[in-house]
Amino acid sequence: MTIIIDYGVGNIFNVLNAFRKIDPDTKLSADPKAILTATHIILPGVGAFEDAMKALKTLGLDQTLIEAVDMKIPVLGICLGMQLLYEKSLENGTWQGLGLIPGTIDLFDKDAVSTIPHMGWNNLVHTAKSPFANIEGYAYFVHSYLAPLDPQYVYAYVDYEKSKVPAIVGRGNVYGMQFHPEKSSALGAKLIKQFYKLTQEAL
Amino acid sequence: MLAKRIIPCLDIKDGKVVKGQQFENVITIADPLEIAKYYSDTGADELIFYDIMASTEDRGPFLNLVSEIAKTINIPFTVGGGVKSIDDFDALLKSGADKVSINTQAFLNPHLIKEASLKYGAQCVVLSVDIKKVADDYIVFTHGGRTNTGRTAIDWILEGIQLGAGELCINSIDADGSKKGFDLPLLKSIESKVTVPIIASGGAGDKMDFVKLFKETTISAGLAASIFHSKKVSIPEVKFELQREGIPVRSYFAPLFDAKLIPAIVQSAQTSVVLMLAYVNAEALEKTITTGYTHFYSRSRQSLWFKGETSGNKQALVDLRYDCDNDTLLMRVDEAGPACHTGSYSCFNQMPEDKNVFTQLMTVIEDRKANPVEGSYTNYLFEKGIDKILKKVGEESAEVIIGAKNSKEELLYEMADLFYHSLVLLANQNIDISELEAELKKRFK
Repeated sequence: MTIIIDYGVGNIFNVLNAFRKIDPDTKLSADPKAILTATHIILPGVGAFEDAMKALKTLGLDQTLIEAVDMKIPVLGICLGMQLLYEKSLENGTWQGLGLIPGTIDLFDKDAVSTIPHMGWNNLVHTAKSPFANIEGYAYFVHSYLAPLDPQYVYAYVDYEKSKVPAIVGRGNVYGMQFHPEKSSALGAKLIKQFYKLTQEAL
Repeated sequence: MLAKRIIPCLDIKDGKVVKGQQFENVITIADPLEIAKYYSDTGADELIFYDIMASTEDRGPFLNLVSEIAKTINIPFTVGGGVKSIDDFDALLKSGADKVSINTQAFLNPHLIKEASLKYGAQCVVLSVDIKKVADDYIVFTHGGRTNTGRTAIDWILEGIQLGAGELCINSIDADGSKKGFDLPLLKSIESKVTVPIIASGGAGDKMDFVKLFKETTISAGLAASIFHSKKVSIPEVKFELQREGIPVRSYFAPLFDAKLIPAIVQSAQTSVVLMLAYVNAEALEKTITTGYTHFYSRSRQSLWFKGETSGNKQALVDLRYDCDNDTLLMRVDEAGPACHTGSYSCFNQMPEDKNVFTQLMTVIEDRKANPVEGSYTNYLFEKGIDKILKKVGEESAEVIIGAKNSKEELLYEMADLFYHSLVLLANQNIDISELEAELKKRFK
C-alpha cells in the first residue's frame, strides 16, 4: 500500500491519480499509524516551505516521516515535498526541514537566471550514480527555490540558463523529485515505476 | 535546457470548446475532454481552458469539467474565467487545475493576486492581460476586451508581479484573430521589464509565427487556439519547425521509442506519390530532423542509413507527422531522384500522374495572363482583347474545315491552333478549365 501524505497543502488529487495508475492500492492519509504500515510513502507539496512544514508538525507527521525512514520505508518527496526532505530552507526566512538529506534550499541565483519561477519542461541530465539513468527526456518543473548541487545526493539535474538545478535527489531509501512526475506525461509515469522497482529491490 | 512551450487554448462555453474571433462571433467545435487528450497526446506542453461565459452568467468556474480534465491528461493545465475569490482558487486547484488565470477580476481587485500567491504560491497565479494599442500607448482592456481601463499595460503588469503573479499571459487584442503573427513590438516592450515567464497570445497564423516569436524574443511560451482547432497546423509540425531552427522544444517523438523501430512512410510532397517505406530508430529520426534529410535504420545492414548518401538521391524533409496512435511516421519530402534502388521513381513502381496537356497548356496561358512576358503571342492576344480573340477563334475554325479536306497533318495542325485559341478565350473570360471539364462530364450518359 502506497500512502500519499495528506497534510492540507496543495493539490494532491493529480498525484493520487498518477500513483493509482501504478499502485492501485494508493491512499491519502494523515494518520501516523497508517503511514508507518505503508510500503511506499509519497510526500507531495506546493506552496510555501514554512506553511508546509508547520502543517506537517501540527499533525505530528514530521516525526512519523523520520521514523518511517528509520524503518526503511521508501519515501519520495515531490516538488516542495522534495525540498522538505532537506535540513533547512531560506524561503522568506530560515526554516527547519525534515533533515533527511543534508543541505539547504535556497532561491535561484539572480545572476544565473533571468526568469523565476523555473517553469516548464526541462531535459534531465543524469549523474554517474543515477538509478534512473535509463529514463531520458523532459520533465515538468515549476519552482522558485532549489536544492544544493551536492554530487553525493544528486541523481539528475537540468540546465536552466546558467544554473544547474537538482531534479532527482536521493539518500538511501529517501528520494526526491523537484519536477512533477504526475504532470510529466509518459516520462513521469516511467520515473514513478522506476521508483517502485528500485525500492522493491532495496527492500 | 528549458524547452519553449506550445500551449493550445480552449475557450469553453456550455461545456463545449468554441472558437471566436476578435472576442466575438463564437462557434462550437468540440468536446473539451476529447480535444484535451488529443493535444496532450500530440505534444502540447500545457493547456489553458477559459470559461468564457462564467463572468457574463455571474457564476463560479466549471469545477466538474476541471476534475474530468485532470483525470484525462497528465500535463499541466491552467483554468481561467469567473475566478473572483480565493475560494474559487481553492476549488479549482483542489479539482486538479495546476494554475489559475485571472484577468478582469484581478484588475478590479488586485488584492486577490496577493492573497492567492501567498496561500498557494506565485507559480499557480497567472495574470492574464488584454492589451490594445491606443494612440502610442499599450492600454489594459478588461471585460473581454470591451472596457478601456486607461491604464498603461506595463504599469499594471509590474503591479501584478509585485503582488505575486508568477506568470503572465499577454493577449494582444490588435493581433487576436489577425493570423498575422504574434504582436512582437508589444511583447518586446514587456519582456525586458519583467522576470516572470511570459505566455504570448493572439495572432498565431502559422508555424513560422512561433519560430519568429522564439527567435526574436525571450518569451517562454506561445499560445494559439484557432490554428490548432482548425487543424491548419498541428503541434508536431510547429515543434518540428522549431527543432529544425535550433529552438529547444520537448520532443514530441519521445513516446514513439518505447518500440525500438518505427515504420516511416515517405511521400513526395510534389506529386503525393508514396515513394517508399523504411524504419527509423531514435538516432535516425534525430538525424532526419537536424540535417533536414531522411535517415533510416537499415535492418539488413543493422546500421544508420543516410538515404542518397552514395546515389545522390537524397530526400529533403518538408513535413513530418505521426499517425493517430503514435506508432508510424509520415515523411513528406522533396526527392532529388528515384527512391528505389532499382532506379524506379517509387519502390511501389508508381509514377506521378502527368497532368493532361490541356491542363498544362492552360497553366501556361493563365501564367502569361498573370505575369505578362514581352514578345509573347498569348499576351498580344490578351492585350488586343476579346474581339481579336474571337476573330482568331473564327479563323481557326474555318482553317480546321479546310485542313480536314486536305490532309491528316493539316487537320492536326489547325485543330491544335483552334484548341489553343479556345483556351485563350476561356482564360480571357475568367473561366477555369475545370468548368469546361465539368460541362463535358455532364454529357456522359
